[in-house]
Amino acid sequence: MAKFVTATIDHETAEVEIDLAGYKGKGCHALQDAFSKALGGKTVVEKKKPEFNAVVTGKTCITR
Amino acid sequence: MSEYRKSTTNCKDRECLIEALIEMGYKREHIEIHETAQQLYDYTGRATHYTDPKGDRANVIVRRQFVGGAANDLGFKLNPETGTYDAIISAYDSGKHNAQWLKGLKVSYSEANVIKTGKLQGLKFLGKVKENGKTQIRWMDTRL
Repeated sequence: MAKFVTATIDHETAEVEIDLAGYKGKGCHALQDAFSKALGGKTVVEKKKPEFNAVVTGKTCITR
Repeated sequence: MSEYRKSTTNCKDRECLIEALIEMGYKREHIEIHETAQQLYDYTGRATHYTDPKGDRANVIVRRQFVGGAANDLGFKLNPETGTYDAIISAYDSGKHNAQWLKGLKVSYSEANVIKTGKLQGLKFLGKVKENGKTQIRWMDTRL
């Protein structure tokens, strides 16, 4: 089944949230690292947020 | 006043900075790119020396005729210490290029940056939607 990645950028704070719902293990870490580097080396925190997507549940990676 | 002031930005990637400037309304053909920082000029065509006694210089420049009426050059200079581009904006133009404008640039830069990252990761870009004060960018992972 195809996976989807969603980035949400808040216009007020300019914070970027990367939703990697459905990813786990190496695949998740590779994308976490890539987006983390792109976003200035900020730590990408893994956070369980199942309500984020009603269809695809799983881990959500949020950058701060 | 044409006195230049320096503002830090989060922009590290030059191409994404240019994409962000385009998103903010400037045309690509009006954006100069220089490996070596070049002199900025005020509305009279005079070389200025406000942020640097050797001359205000920038690597990414929008010349004054493309900024607006009676404007000064708008520049972004690569800061070798931080690896980010500092915005060099004249006091006169800080009415247009104010904190709100810089915030918009930051958002546009982040958009360009995450789109580029997704592409480099081999994700298929599905689109960008702006609503409720947020931009949502979506990709499909077809690599598996």
